[in-house]
Amino acid sequence: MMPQRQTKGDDSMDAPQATVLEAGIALDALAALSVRLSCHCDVHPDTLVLPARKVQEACAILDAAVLALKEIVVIAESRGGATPGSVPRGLSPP
Amino acid sequence: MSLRLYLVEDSPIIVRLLRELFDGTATLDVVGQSGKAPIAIEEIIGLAPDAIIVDIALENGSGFDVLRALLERRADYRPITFVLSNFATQRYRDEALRLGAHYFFDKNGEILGLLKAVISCSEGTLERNGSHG
Repeated sequence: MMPQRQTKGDDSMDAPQATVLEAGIALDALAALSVRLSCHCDVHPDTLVLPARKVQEACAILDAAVLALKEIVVIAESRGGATPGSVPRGLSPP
Repeated sequence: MSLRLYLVEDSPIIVRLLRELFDGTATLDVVGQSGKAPIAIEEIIGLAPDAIIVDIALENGSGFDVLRALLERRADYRPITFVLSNFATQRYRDEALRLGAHYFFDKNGEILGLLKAVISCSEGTLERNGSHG
């Protein structure tokens, strides 16, 4: 099952607005995943309980959340935000 | 008679989850859904469901727009209103209640609480003007 991109924002949005929208997508996905995996609290921890369909759905939801989080990084980077590997301000490159 | 429920929610993941959770509840009938505030407003006014579940952050507009429009356009119509949001701060809760919401649930950890409340409502065992959270 392929994760579906849920684009809410557009290029006219400012960075905080676009970031909040993407964060919302990630939070929705993780909230749904939490509910889907919250069953079977009463069985032994080593018991296998999830059918393959549930695992596939859970993977798709996690992928959707990861896509949204990656989009947040892209938004931050495109608006001048620091990302790992970028040269911090005030430091001269070697 | 079933409780007629409308979903104002733009996340397909959450919509699918809610539909699955409500599926098979004989006392509940999901009569419609939209993630766009203008469409949701028109459909709610047209369908007049008994209860609505409203997300705050929507694809087009917000859940507050929906609540505000219902108050302004149909003051005589008060569906049982459950707000379900990632933004569960006191400011959002207060604004939702001010705009006529009866219950407020945080998507983070309270979806099953919402499920219980809606089913209780459909079975007539939930006070309409209670509060949550």
